[in-house]
Amino acid sequence: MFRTLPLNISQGLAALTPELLVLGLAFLIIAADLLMPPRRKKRLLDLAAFGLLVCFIFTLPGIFQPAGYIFNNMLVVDPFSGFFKLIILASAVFMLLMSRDYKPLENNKTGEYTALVVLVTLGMMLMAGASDLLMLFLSIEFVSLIFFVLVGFLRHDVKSSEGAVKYFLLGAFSSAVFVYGASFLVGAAGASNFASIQRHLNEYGVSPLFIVGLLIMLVGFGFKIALVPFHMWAPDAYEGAPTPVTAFLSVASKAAGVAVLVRTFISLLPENANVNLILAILAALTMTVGNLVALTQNNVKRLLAYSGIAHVGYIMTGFIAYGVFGIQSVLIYTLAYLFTNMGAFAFAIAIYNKTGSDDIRDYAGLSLVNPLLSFVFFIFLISLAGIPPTAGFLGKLLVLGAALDSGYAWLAVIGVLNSVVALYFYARIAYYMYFAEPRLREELKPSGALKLIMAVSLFFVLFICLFPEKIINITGQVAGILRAFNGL
Amino acid sequence: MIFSFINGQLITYGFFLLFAVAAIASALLVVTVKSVMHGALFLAAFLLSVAAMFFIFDADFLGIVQILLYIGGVIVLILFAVMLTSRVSSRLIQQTNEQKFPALLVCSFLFCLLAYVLLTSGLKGFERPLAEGGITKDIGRLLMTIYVLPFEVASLVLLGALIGAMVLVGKKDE
Repeated sequence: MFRTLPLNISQGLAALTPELLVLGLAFLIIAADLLMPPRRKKRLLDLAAFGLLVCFIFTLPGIFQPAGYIFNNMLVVDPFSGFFKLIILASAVFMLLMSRDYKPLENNKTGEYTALVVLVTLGMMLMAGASDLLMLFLSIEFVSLIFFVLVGFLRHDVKSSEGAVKYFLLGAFSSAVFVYGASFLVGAAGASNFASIQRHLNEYGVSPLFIVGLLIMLVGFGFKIALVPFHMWAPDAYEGAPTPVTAFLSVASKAAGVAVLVRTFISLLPENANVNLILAILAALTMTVGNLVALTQNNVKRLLAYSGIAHVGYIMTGFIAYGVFGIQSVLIYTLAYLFTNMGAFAFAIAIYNKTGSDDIRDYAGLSLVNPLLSFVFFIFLISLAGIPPTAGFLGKLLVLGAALDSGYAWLAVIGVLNSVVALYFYARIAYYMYFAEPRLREELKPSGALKLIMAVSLFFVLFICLFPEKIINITGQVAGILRAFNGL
Repeated sequence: MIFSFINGQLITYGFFLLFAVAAIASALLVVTVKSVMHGALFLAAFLLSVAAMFFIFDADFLGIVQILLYIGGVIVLILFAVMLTSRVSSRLIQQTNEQKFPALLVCSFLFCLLAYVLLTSGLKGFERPLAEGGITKDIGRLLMTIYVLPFEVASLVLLGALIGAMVLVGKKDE
């Protein structure tokens, strides 16, 4: 079933087709930026979105391929990495379409912006497939470095700079912690690629040094996906960044972080190592803190940042189950989160372009001027809260089911209680839209691109919940192959 | 020879201890001295001690890179930045805050934990005879064979950093 391959370079490159296409696109954008007249630079965003869509189509077969290592075990190509590459590419396309119509980004270094977005997409795709500690570190650095710049892209906005500096300082610190932990692993196992480490573990078992190294690496991962208590950078970075970057950061970067976290733990941590309790406590903390702090937020970007933290807690809840069902629930939750969050952010941009404010109190009266749009946003909100018939519900159901299945009933109870808390602040936005004293008088006219994002997101948010068989089948296969390939 | 009773390994060990103590002492000073300028200089001392340790363990390539990049590049940059911002260089800064005792507690706990796992794990290190041409030749060969993909990706990271730097300092589009 598995190719165990000391492949030569050309075969390795063939397996990397999606990444190479994205790389080619990045070079194309850089070259086109030089040639295009400044007034038409907006076309670059369209070009990049179209190019990434093509890459998306080329990546689709990736979720049905057999698993195997390429480039001397540096990268692994398997359905799991293929799945996350698709999520990353999809959110990059959404993000580029949003950027077209986000006012502060207009005529503001569009060429460089687009090139950076395409490069960071490539970095995250490499992250999803990394199977060597060196490659893992390099790709995480690649992604972080570019995101620091993207968060601080609005140089004349104090908040953007503040967010970027906080993100940079904590990100650099967490990278150092990550490398420190990785060095323990290399010291204990005598190799840096996952295949050799697995061989070593099968032969000699785990040492305390190895487990501690892995937990230190978890701190590094925790920063990247904003686990509590390593989440301090997230709200400021999310608030300061240009909104499309916030959306990208909250979906793609988190998905890539979840991918490496799951892969590292599944392939390097034997099930008898008993660190699941630590993960469970982190998950419970993350859900609770994220939701409780979100209660008092009035800025929609900050609110979505804290709710994003809570969602990572749910994803971790599913992951603790560790088995095929647990991984499957993580995949479905991430997919649901992609469409729901992208839809919500597209909506936030539409409002911002009209009012110049991210305050949810300025949403008052929206239902009177844009009844249809308000209803669509309402659906995204209930998907975030996890109410049927939306994708968020299915994700939450599976994640909590996986926790129950693996004997973490207390965690599932905390998850359910948190959903109730979350319902309050999502409903609060709905309250302002429907019942508060109107502040919006004029109709919003979102651009075609934003409408497209909302329509596609809405379709999938409903589709995933109403016709889940296909997706459950596919994710089941993906998780099964990951589990079988890394059986320890 | 009069000193023949001292064997080579002992001398190596002695030098290692010397530089290890120097590294730890200067690292502590970096985070305790109140003048930014002095902090930067102690950081240079720390990096030099680490470079010396690389030399002691035959990792001469790493030692040279450490000196070239960190002391030649990073420290010089830091010194420039400190000197150009006169408000910082002339002021004394308290590096600790009211959280220092809890932080100390956590750090001591971490120290004990790490010391415990390191001492009990029985790390042996990887004894390997040096290839002809030393470690530099080894690194060169590995970069072009096993580690060719990370090597290429590193160049992309630099490309991203280059564009990013242009964004952060460049003028706005016309």
